[in-house]
Amino acid sequence: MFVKLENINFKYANNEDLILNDLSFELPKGCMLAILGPNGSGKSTIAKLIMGLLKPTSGHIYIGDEELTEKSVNHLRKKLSIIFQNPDNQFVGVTVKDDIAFGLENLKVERSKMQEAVNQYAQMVDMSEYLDANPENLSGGQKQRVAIAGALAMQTDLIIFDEATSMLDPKGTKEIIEMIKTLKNSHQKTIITITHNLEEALFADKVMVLNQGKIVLEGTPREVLKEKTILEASGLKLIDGLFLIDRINNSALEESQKKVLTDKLWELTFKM
Amino acid sequence: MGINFQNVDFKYAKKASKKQLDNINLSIDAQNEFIFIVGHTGSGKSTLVQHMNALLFPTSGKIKIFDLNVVRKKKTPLKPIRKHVGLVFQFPEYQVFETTVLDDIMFGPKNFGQTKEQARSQALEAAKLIGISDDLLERSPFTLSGGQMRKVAIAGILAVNPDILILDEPTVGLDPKTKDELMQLLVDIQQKTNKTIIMISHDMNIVSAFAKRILVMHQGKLVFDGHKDDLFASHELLDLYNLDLPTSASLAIQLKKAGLINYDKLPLTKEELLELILKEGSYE
Repeated sequence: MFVKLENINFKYANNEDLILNDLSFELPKGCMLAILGPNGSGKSTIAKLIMGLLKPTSGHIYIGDEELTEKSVNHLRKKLSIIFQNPDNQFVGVTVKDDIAFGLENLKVERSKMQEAVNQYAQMVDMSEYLDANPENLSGGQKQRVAIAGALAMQTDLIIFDEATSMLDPKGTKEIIEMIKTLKNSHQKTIITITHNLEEALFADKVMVLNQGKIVLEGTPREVLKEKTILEASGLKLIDGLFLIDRINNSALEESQKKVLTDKLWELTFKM
Repeated sequence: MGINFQNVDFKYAKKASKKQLDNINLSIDAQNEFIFIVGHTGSGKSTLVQHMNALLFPTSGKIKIFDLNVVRKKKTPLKPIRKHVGLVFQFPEYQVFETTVLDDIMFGPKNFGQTKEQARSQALEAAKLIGISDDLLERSPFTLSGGQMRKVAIAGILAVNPDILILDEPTVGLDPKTKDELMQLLVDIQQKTNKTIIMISHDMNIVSAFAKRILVMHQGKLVFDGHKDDLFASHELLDLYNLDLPTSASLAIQLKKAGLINYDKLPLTKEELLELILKEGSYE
């Protein structure tokens, strides 16, 4: 197991309500987990706990075989990276090159090898042409890709995407979703994506729905994304293809017609 | 007439070769319009709406807002223009700053010279319109959820009671339920008040569900001004300006290809597609 959360409770202050309530889950190495939930459900708190930016009120977090504690946090954090929501808040370099190199400098990579590594990671996220570009001239999607290159440069095993597409336009969103797919398939990274964009969950290995700090649903995308009642109660809704399947199944159409239509809609939804 | 643009060009610097707005001609009624502005990032959408409430001024051409000429002269009073046209920026919740929700909503009308009592009564009305409940009014806006804070920010503009309300991507970053609620509220506000609402959006599912009139911006030019059906029915236009189809329209095209449905007019929303499927059954 690469990431394991065990009976996590979290609240900001003693007198406040629990933000996370007895939360447990496991994620094997190389797998992708999508955490869905409405604004304020506690999704991002999970990311902050795993990154060691917050400390659980009670419960245990394991990264690899080690428990995350005050002692181990600095060393475990080297295995993790996070891509935040706002592309403008995580650009640390003056140019794309500097930004990617920042992580390498932290890893004390030799200067002579630095250039080669920067080129390699920029190429992976398709930003080779922009090495000397000023971040102000980049689109949101491009900035997020540079952040991903930085994360790749750190050679972390786990990458967390914390609503990384929610401020992007459709083109930027597509770019990042394609990037996540590549990281999952070709680079065998362990990935957690925190989102309320249900399309981002379609290709995850496992999907978890969070509402008011509790897991209300978990399973494969096919199992979870058709659960209309629970999704709606959690501020989410069926994506169009699954909405149509739900209504067709509850309609007066003949069974044979229902089957043909819903089979095709399943196929299209998971292909789109 | 609410807003009128005649041959409007805009460049950030006089000598710049690139025009951010390129020969825009446009008329928007003072009442009862629901307009969406679409187009790629950098196509000039935000620049266009910033001209509609005198935040930017044309390099050449003429803009009239409710018969007031928009010109960059020191003595031209801009408040009357901005009283007519209220603009809600992207992520407006970042601009919330007062200690209570009510004070924050009152800031706008006070800034336009209303007495404290008037401002308060207009703020209460705006809060009611956008669905901010009374128990939130004395709370600090910073204890609210993102969606609620955004409503507070929109209420602050509504409280000035502009004739035309412009919103730059009001639903970005909200969860699906909050997104639907906000859209429904804006539709209700439009119907109750007859205000013209203009909205920038990238979300074609929202655009197809709510738009009557669509403006497409591309490289600083207004390249389409018309009904949504005419835009989404044209593959050439969508390809040319790199616009996505709404999800259900894409599904409809694939279902038609597979011989499962047939239609003359492409369904744009999931409701339209469902109606078609249920009416015809699977198409033989």
